[in-house]
Amino acid sequence: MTALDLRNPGLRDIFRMGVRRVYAYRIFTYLGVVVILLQLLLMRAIWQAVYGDQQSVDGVPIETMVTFLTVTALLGFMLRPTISEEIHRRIDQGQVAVDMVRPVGFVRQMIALSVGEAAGRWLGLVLVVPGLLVIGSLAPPSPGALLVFLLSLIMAYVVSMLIWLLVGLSGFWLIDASGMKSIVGVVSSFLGGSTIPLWFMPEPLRIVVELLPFQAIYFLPASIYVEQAQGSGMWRALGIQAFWTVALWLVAAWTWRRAQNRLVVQGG
Amino acid sequence: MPMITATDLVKDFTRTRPVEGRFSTVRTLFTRQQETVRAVDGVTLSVDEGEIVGYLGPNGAGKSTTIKMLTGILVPTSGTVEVAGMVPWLNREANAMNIGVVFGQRTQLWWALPLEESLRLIGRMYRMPEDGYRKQLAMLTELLDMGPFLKTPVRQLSLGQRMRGDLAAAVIYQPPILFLDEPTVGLDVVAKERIRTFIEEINAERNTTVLLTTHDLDDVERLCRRIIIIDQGRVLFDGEAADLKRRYAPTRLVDVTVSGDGIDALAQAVRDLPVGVEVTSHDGMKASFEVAPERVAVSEVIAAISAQAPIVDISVSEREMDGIIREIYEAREVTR
Repeated sequence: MTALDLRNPGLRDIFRMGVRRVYAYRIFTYLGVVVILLQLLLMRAIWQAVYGDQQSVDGVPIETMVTFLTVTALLGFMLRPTISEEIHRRIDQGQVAVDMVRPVGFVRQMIALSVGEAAGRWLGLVLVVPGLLVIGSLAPPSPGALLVFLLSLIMAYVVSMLIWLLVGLSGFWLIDASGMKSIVGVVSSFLGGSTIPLWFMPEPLRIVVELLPFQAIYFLPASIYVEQAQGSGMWRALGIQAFWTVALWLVAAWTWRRAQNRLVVQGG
Repeated sequence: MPMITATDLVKDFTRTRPVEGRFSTVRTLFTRQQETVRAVDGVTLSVDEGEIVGYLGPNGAGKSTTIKMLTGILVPTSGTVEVAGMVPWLNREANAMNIGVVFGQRTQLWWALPLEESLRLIGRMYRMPEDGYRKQLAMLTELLDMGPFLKTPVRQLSLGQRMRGDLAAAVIYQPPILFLDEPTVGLDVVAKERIRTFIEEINAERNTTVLLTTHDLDDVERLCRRIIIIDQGRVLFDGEAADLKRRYAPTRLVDVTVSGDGIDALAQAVRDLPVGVEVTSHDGMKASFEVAPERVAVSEVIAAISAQAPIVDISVSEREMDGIIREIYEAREVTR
């Protein structure tokens, strides 16, 4: 699976199609923004109630907590399961047959489209940031942390995309994989530490969460942004993300090889 | 030189066996019983460069499954395939450069894009040089009369327009091999004719090898010298269409009508017919015969009748292809 090879000019067109799709489904994007802002509003209220009169819990000031929530809300807006939805649609309609007689692999086409959509969304960030600044806070960290955060953000995207790719590929085994999507959706945001950061999680839960890839999507980049992960902690966070990037990549490649032998084209 | 060869091709599909009886839906959820359905059962075939071969069979015969293995979409359970010297499912991306595919039941164009942009994307995906792409697009626009809807988004095209767009998409990068899976399904007479003419022209000009599945025997009569008939995953017939006709419908049908005063004469003529003629109907002024040409010449039969009765109308015909095919499908075998 040489899916990183973006040299085929057709893939660039598919990428552009992904970018344009975000704007074709504008209403959907706007709704996504509203949902994210509402969620942030809610989370902030909850955490302010939890903090009560205290300025700081376990060495985490309330301001840091609000910034953390703002960053995870932002990540939630950017890291969408579009690739799994697209794959499920194409399996369900038997369109995957057509995709497989192209000179560019199926997975590469799907990745190009989904990276395009992500790029479109990231351009659309302009829509979200003002709202986030009103409801939350995005106090910029030191330039060094910002730079590391951007690197971490890219890895968070890749990990999230690979997880959704795997959910998408599960469609080759399950006729209706929408249940899989909802489960992973809920699990990834909770076990990713986007609503409750890992530092507040009870010990047993935290150990489980640290063994799972979801923290690489939300918790690790957000804790780098708010500089809760600094120095060796920061490098450790990047290392965990890099590990999951590689590991999930291998799992996805293996799954895809198996999926091809299982392929059943729906509808003759 | 064979462009497509398949040897002992087999494809099994497994599925969970549905449980019957009470609470069957719930019980199916927990059942582990699998059943295997053999869609293609030992198909061997070979298609030479420049041939147009009709691949026929009733619904569920295994036609589409075969095509999907030949195009590299499905991996066979056993058997070998070579398309232009390559194993399709092991070299999917390289194989894709050699083949053009049309699935009549679905489109390979992008729903959201105008037809022209879809074609451009395909041109770029197949790494066509810009001027080559332009030349091909102009040629195909002319041949398939796509001018009026080049700028229309694919989702708004009529079925006939979409099918023309799909054909253009399959040939624009000039592949040496074309797989057409029901390219005329659902089209009206005029649209079908246009597509047949196009396939004919592409085959004549580029010596493109074509494997075509269809349920429309006019497609076959018009395009294919050779046909392969399969049913229940097995090849029933592989040979020239004319040969199938000779074998199945060697007889000619002769219908005669005589004038009102020739009724008795016709009755007499019917009694005196030469050997090799069978009367299928006889009623007053009209009579129909089936003539076996290897035993008696049709002209001899006509001469014998006209010597006795005043013929006013006569027609000689052979049996239609679809009658033959229907008979084969029903009998599920070809007599040899």
